[in-house]
Amino acid sequence: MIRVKSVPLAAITLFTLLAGVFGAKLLGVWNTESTKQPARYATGELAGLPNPADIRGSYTWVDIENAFGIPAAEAAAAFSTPSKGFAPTEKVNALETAYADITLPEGTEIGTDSVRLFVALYLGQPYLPEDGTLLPDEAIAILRTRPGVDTAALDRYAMPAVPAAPAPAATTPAPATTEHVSPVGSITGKTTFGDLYDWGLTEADVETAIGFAPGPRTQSVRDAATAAGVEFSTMKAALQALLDSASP
Amino acid sequence: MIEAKAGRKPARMSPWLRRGVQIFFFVLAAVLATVSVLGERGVIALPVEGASLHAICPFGGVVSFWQLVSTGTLVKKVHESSVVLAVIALVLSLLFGPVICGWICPFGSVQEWLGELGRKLWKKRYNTFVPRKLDRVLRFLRYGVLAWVLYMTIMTGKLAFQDYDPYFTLFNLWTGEVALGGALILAATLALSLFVERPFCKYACPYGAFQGIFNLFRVFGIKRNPKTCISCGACDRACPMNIEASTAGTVRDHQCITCLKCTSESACPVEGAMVLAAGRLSIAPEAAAAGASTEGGSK
Repeated sequence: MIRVKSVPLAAITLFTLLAGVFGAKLLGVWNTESTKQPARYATGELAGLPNPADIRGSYTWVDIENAFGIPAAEAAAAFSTPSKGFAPTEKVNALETAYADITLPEGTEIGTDSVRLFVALYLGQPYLPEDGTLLPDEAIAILRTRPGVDTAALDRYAMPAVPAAPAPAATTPAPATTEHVSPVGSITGKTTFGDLYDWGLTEADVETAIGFAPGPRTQSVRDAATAAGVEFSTMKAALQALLDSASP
Repeated sequence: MIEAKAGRKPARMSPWLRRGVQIFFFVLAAVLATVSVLGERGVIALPVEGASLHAICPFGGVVSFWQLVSTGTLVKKVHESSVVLAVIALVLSLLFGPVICGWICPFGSVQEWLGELGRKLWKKRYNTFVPRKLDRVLRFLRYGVLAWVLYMTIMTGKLAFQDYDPYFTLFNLWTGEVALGGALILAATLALSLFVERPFCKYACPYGAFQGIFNLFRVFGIKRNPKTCISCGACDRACPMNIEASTAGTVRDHQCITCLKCTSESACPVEGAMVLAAGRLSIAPEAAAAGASTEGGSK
């Protein structure tokens, strides 16, 4: 019989913990915060470049500058509101509260995905935003000055003027108010592999279309694309074509 | 081979040994989490590196397991350090059972410290308020919580438990960035701790539920030597988790937290009658004979 008394138990417990943490540090796997280094495109002409789709709410504007080269002050100013000016060190997820008081059409939002869209357009990279993603006026104004930007396309993401009183049929081409639910057979940023299977595709079909084994049912196609370093629009096009050909 | 020397007064564990370890980890968690928040807010820049509570909680590694295996990524807000701690905790649990719960978990410690106040208030009635039948059923509630947390985390890829987690709430209360659900559960837990020892651990903690499973096959178990045990019931009364250790050969109860309060180093009056050990208990024949006549229990 091997008996362990309290002092050795305390010592073993502490030693195991400390040695484990120290060992993990030596091996370089002890990370207590995200690296703020977005995933990079693995294929295509953008291969090797950081992917805006991987921007998280925990990124600060400075992190975005470090990763994408967009001046932090400029990006922060693009998303500032009349009542809230962002400092470059603030996090992107502060947008949620900053725009909470600003009335936007139902189903639309200015949040982290808006920053992904802004960064992609600023850099002239493709990005398919989630349904209802909008950009503030200042961001649109900045993007209009960027070379090669399709200014007409930018209007799609503009914040619509909200009438003070109940208005008749809107004259402003406001973005379609959509629910955050993938319409059947139409792939969006929130479409999961499970949705694809529910719509009649098999795992083998999906694997053939995207070129690698799909993730779990709950993983979104966008996340899979980001993780694989593939442009979401490319993967979406392949899967949409597959869905369209499979539908009667 | 360890031989029980029945009749000899057992050497006692200093109450400050486990308490000291608990205080150390409580302070460590508080400092790391506070420095992390202050650093994030740019309030102060300290030479000490902070870490979010998610980064230093092994449960993050547990709930991330499925996503890590299936996609190679971690659940949002969970970092590699959580996985490292989960693996370390796994090793310790395989050896000693939920020693993390009994010695390290800061939230378990807080409940225990409040329990000491409750014990002073209620004396012997403390920790006996919940009827036994109801208590037995409620003990399995935490497995429901664990199943729900795992399911929701796998389905959403987010930390589903954060908004209800009293441990996270406790250390983030001062920031004002806590969910109402977490605050209510924290308040309820702290209040209940004055009547029941470790109520959250017993009835609701999903990580405690996960850890508790290891009690069924841990290498070093709490072992009672029936030849020297005088059936005084001191171990039963000392157990914060209300386990009936006095009738067990090896304690396999899923709620044991390896606090050693029941052992011969603490409550048990007979040396070697209740020990943390691996393998078969061995005992000298003369000790066995003497053990039967050893007094000191308060049954």
